[in-house]
Amino acid sequence: MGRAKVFGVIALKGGVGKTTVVSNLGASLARDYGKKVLMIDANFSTPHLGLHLGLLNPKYTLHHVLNDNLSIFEAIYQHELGFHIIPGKLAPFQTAPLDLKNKLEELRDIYDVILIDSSPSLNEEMYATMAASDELLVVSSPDYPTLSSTIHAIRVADKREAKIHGIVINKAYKKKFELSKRDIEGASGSKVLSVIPENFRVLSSLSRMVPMIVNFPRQNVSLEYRRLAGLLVGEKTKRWFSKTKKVTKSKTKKKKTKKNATK
Amino acid sequence: MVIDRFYLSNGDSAGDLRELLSRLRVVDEECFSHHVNKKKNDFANWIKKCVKDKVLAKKIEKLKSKEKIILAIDKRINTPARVKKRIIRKIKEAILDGAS
Repeated sequence: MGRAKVFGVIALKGGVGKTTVVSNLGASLARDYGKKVLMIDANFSTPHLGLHLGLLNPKYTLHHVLNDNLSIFEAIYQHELGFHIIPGKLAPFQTAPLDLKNKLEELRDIYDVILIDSSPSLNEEMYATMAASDELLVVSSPDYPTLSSTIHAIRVADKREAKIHGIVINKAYKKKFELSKRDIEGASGSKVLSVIPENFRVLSSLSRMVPMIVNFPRQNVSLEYRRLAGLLVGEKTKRWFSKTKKVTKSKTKKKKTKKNATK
Repeated sequence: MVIDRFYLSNGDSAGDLRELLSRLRVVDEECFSHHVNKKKNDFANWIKKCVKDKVLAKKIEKLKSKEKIILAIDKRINTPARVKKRIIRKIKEAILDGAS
């Protein structure tokens, strides 16, 4: 276990799926790659990471840590799926978000990966995530309004000398009218790391407060999250894909042999 | 490439398909029928000879209604890929202008 790499997950638009990306990547890093993962809800105004992971009314939150000088360790919760969370307060109060960076220093030696779920508002809340992160993942979706927010977010990050790791395109229907990976890369000047397809099961998982990769591990969305998680920590992800292929091949072989037998 | 301009009977002119499209959208019936009637289709001729777009010219040659000609030119110019490119460029310009 070395010093944790801190990834800030940002978007300058609500509803693109930042929190879903954080919860699924975190769960995958912990379960599939055996990493020690901490997820932090730094969306101070509308903190919903807890609602994605079944942590409804935590006693201590990041708000308490930044406001009341509570030790950050008091606000860490162990999730049954193997990762840790620092939630936000659902009825939030004013905090000093920019202290987040200093508070995280204490945790860097404990974890492999720290994921920060950012606020979508361009204010101190987002600047706090930019300052506290080693690299940023920008969540986007393949439409013009979100592309505009993505370009803006990347410009702001550049100005604040925050490093962009890449873009995650979420909720892609893979239709012709949508912006392609190439369009988004060309317009933003950043690399697209992953295109996550739209799938109603994401909402089904949210209703159970369990990450998609746990609920439906072999769905296209989950496989893409698991691949992306591997990419973040520099590990190969081929095993799930190859297993799926082998199963389908052997099934078709069996079908053929059955047909031959009946003939 | 310099294209010979198309001069409409109402005094307006167009130097490319985009300009022609915007002129056609506001041209009156009298002017339109001066250029498109049973004997001739000036737009199709100009597109064929000056713009050198034979495909579009052939398509327009058969059309006698203003709306249909507008639609055909619009489809030819504003392909989804071109529209996408133009919108992305404008979004980028808007963000860069806002930042400066």
